[in-house]
Amino acid sequence: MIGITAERCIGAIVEKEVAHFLSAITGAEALDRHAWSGLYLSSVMDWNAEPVAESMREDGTTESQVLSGASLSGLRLMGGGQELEFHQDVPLGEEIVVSTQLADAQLREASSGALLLLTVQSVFETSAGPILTRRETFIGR
Amino acid sequence: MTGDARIEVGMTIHPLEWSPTNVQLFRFSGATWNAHRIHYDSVYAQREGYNDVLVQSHLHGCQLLAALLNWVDGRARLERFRWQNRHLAMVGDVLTCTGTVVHTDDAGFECDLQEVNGDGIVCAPAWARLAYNHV
Repeated sequence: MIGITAERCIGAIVEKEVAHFLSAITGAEALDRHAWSGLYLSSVMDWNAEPVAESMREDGTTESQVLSGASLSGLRLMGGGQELEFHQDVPLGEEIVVSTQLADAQLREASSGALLLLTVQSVFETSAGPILTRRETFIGR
Repeated sequence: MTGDARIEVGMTIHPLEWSPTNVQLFRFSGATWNAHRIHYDSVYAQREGYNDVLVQSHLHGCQLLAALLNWVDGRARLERFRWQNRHLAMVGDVLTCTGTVVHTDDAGFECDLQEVNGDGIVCAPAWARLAYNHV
């Protein structure tokens, strides 16, 4: 699984989505559309539009929320953080493609038990090139 | 930061204090299509051993960025941003986002940021690099 890239089209971002996202963040001003559109892009957990209730785990998460194709059944996943690089403005209304790969997976022992650390790298781009590179870690137990 | 104020190492951003509510976390989960029950289902959260629902990891990052961008006030453009989810936070916590300029050059500047809870525990350290918007 490590190093294998999955590519999918997530559609276009519209202004209202970003506005809704901003309204849930204390103190966020809409002044910097470049930054907030990028943060929105990097924060959405699942771009599936179809109802996927049948594929949801008991905790509400779905397989596609972390890494499409990876079997993470039985694992409790929490977000560990992100590294983001903003290449250009997120163009509203233009189709975006995201390429995702599992960059690393490590099993570590902690005082609370074994932890699985997953690092997932994604590149969001349009026909004009890369918009955002995201490197995100997840902690599974 | 206002007008043409020069950015210098050691400058601090205006603190942003926020206290997550059930409604805010629910709205953030909705906006980010995050159905993880730990963020909106109090009964589930308590079953998992927490007093109440937990703040989403991405929301920590967003609050840190809100503090930074409010201080920047449109004078610079975000190039890179990284944050870690180090300590959990939940509904009712009082969280404060602060930051300090740690590097400047002709093109831009860098800030170390952190979000701290009421007990002084760092919930999320962060770092950002911004490029000046030249008029």
